[in-house]
Amino acid sequence: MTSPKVPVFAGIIIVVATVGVVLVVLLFARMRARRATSSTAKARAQAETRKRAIEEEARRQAAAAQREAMLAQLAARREALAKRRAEAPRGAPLTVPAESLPQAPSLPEALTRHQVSMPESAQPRDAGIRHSSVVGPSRISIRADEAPSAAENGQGSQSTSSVPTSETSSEVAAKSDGLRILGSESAEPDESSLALDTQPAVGRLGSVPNELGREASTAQSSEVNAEAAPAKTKGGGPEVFAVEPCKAPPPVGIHPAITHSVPEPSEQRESVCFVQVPETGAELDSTNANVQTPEVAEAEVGDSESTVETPPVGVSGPVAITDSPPPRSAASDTIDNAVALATPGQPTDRETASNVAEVAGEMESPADGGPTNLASNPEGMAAALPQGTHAGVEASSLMRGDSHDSPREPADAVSAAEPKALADVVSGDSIETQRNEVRLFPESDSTSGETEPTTDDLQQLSDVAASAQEDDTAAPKQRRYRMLSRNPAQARPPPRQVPSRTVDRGAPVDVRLSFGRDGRCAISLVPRRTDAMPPTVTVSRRGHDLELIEMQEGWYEDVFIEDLGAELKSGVFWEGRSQVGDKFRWSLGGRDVFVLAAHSQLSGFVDTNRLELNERHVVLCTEEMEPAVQAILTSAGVVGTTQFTSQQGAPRGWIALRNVIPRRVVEPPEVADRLDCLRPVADAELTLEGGVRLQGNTWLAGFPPSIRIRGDALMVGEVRIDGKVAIQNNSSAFQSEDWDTLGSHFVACSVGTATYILVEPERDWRAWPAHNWTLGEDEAAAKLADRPSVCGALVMPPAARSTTSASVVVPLTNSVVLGALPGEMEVCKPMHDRTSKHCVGFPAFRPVWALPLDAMHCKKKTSGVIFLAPSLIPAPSRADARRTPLHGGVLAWCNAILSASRKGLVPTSGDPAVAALWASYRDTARLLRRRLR
Amino acid sequence: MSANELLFWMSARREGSWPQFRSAVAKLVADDEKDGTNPTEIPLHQLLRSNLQRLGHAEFASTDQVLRWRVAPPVLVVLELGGTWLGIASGARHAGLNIDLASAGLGFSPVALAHAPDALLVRATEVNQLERVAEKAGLTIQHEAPAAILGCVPPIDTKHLLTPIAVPLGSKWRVERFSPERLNWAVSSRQEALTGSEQLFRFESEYEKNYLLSTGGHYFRVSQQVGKFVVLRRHHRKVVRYDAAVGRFSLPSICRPPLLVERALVLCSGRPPRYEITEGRGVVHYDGVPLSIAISAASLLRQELRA
Repeated sequence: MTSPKVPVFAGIIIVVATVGVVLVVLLFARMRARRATSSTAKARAQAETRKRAIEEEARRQAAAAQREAMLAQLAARREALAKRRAEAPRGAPLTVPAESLPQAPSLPEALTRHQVSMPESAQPRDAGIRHSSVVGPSRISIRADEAPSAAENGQGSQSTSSVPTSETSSEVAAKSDGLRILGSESAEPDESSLALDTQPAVGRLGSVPNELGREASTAQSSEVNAEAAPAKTKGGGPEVFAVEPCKAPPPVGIHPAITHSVPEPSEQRESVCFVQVPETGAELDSTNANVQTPEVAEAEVGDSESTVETPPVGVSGPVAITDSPPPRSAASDTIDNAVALATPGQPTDRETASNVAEVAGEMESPADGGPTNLASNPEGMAAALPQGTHAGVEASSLMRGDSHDSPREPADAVSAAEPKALADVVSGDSIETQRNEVRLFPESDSTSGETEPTTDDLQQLSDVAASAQEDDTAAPKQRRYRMLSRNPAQARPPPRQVPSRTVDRGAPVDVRLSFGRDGRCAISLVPRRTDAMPPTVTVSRRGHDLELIEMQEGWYEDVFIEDLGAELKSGVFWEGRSQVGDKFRWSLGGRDVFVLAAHSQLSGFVDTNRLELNERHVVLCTEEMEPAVQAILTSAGVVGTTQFTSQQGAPRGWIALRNVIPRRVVEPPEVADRLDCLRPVADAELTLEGGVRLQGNTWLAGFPPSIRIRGDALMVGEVRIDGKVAIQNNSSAFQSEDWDTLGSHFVACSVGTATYILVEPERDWRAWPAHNWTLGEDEAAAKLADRPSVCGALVMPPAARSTTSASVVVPLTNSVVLGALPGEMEVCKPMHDRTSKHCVGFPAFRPVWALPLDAMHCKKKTSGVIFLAPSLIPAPSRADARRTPLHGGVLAWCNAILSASRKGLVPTSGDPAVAALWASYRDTARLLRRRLR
Repeated sequence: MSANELLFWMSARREGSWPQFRSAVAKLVADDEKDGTNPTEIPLHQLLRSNLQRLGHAEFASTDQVLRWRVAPPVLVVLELGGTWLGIASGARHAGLNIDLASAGLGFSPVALAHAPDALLVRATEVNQLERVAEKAGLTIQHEAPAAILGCVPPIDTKHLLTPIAVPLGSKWRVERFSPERLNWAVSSRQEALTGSEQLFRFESEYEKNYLLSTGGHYFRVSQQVGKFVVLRRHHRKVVRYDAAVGRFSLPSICRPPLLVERALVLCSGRPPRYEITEGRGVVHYDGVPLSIAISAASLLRQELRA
């Protein structure tokens, strides 16, 4: 029998199966739809990528073509320049038409002006790039040669050369084979140094005389519009600059940094450029190069100024350079420098790099706001310098740019197809080192925390210096590239404060001379001592140890050296270590003339800077220098000097001239020399001398300082003390009403001011046990408190007594001291030595009588009663005696008096009043004795 | 700055270090002797230090290897001289002290001294007068200071003044022996110091001096003055001379007495000793020394007074 429910179940199963199939189908369909969607998006993305790649490739090809064109222009220009140089007569300036310069790639057409300056008389004519301190105002000093074409162009004494910045740079680059920019090529090159002062000054050009007496016209040379493509030269000629063959590389030293900052619209970016300069003396311009674009950089040349107006990087604008060489300095020939400018703090950009690498360093490309890391070598500069880039640098320099946080490696900025030199320049990791090379270090901003080159930097600079001394053919050295900082530049930090600890570790050595009664003089070296230096330190001197011991505040003991003459001439350098390992050094510069004067803290004569008018000095000079010294001293009105030779104590080969009192000002020569210290200058100084100075500007009342004018007193007008006109006394010291009263006083005159305070010290000097002994007993230490002590002239009671009584000295025969009141009795201990005649007591009362200790057994003829009190102190009255409480002390007091009385001792003074007083004391003792019974 | 001003400066500063003192002395020289001539063979700062110590103006002592100075409290030393009284100002001074002493109407006489502050002497017929002057000037009275000082000072051969010490080692020492007969230093050796007895040796290096007293196989570190008089006593050498007529106490200059004995002798007159060359030898004279003081001083030095 079939159940009627079977068809129902079958139907249900069919329906379920059908639904399941439908669901499966729908699921598959959905999955397929999803797959189709994703593949479509991928295909679109791939298509987009391909499109971008194609566009990028097109851009690259365009850029490469542009670079090729630029390089070709540069190469052509180099050839032209070399040809001109070869053809130009020696000594004539080399002119380069502006149109021959390559056009820079597109860059913002902002104007960059660089003030080019040169130090004055101290600046060597051949200065080259000289520049600077590590931090501080930036200025790049660039060697400039004789004023260029103006003279040849018939401009008389006016010489203005306007060249595009890029041209200068190109010229510099082209100068890699030993040419020098901005100077005429002559047998006797008249070199000058241009300092590119990158202060954000308004465009102006200085008017400077050149070596030939020409003076550049500011009006003609300045205010060059950077947008004007061709540079102008006065007289209508092409912009010119002279190129001069480089001489053999001079000895070079490390020059401080040049800061090159390129401001952005709202901030200033900085970098530091280290310039290598020859060691030609003190002529180096110690300023920083701070290139700010768009700005004006002025160049000072010698005692004149040149202004180089430079268009911004990449702008083919003119650069006007007006320079005039400084006075000729024989010590400063043959310097070749190149400047590389670095602009830190901006992102490296490939195009910018290709534009500017070129210049002598790193300059900002305002177009993209990114930094341009520039390094230059002769080839690289030539290849990379575009028109309109920074100018005025020699090409034989290399630079290294630092960008500490550039996101892109410099090498990325240059394609492999670019010339190797350019690649090297831009990458900065392989730069040929030649003479006068320049190193650029970014001056760290506040975020980087660096304010000066690191040790590594300095080491590299040392390497540069060493390499620069090598022959030009020396193999180039690899230089590590440093990224430029991209951090926004902050306000220039103040000059780095050298930690005091470091300062304290170095101290000078003074020369000290004293005259003896035997007609001889003694000369010693006195090393100074700072607070950080130990009282005693051993230093090494020529392989031998020398111990320095503190002499007085601020100085160690004199050091007498056998062969002092040689050390004075060559200089002294000592180095030593304290026990804790701190390193200290002392130095004295070698000279052949020393001026010594009286010192406020040292006796004798101590070396000083120069002669002062009307002051007594000692001049110590070598025998060779004596004629010249005497001649100058004579011109200074010095008469009556006494000469001390080595026979009289002067160092061997030296002469000491005593009583050198200059009376006249001697004008120094135009060129500084080592005998300037013998030429008194018209100078005056307000000084506070003498008196009893307690500390600082505080003097003891009653002993105020003498207010004097040292030097040329005639140049000082009125001197006022506390606003009152002061007059000079017989000793030439200034005084006014109430000038020496207690309190603060203020002195003012045209040459300065001073303040002094007069104070009265407190008068509460207290005694202390300065000397005490135990008198030889056992348990010495424990007995100290029981013994008297001595302080000065005061003999103090034992500390254990805590009494303020004064000591009393009595003869050993009368060691018992009595006071006026019954019971006041002190037995002075006999002297420790039997031969002594006295003993000392410290009674707590006022002593009146001194009696023998054993009156009954003393010698009556030699003993007596000694009256000690300064006045008659009456004995207690009978009533007082009756009220006096009785105790053992009273009994002893009474017994001492009565015993002496029974013995028949009388006062030794013989004064009847004293005798009567003694009788009254005797009566009082008897009364008390009766009470005691 | 003169020596008087130096004392004013010290009084105002109260105390200080040895380098500070030397700086002050250097200024003194620099101000007063601009030509830099050294007036004596002995450094001025040593002369001044000695005189300031002798006269009781200041104490110089080494604490923790550091030499310092401190000015002593102002004291009026009162001495009885044959019925009259003499007051001698010692210790710290202030600028008004001279006025205070002079205004008392007594016999005030500042005496200029070489390389020392002026001696401020006040003479009176009564001791009360000096006491009043001292009170007005803020000075502490010290009666019979020489005797009081000598009454506290132990004799030179007090054993506890001797500090046992080992003979210094090393070759850096230059050894000399004090000759009690010739009263000079004779070249010696460490070996002699090890074998000698009742001798005073000086071990001197470039920066250090040690005085070594050898006695009975033991060695003691002593002060130079004490050691000399110990040796003189052991060799029965009498060097003290006394002229009772003028109260002059004389010693060979090489045999200066210990500080406090010398201070006592100096305070008898308020003047530093005079240096004199007699028969080729330097002699120091202390003037105005009473017989009792001379006897006490000689006894402390274990010497006998000889005319």
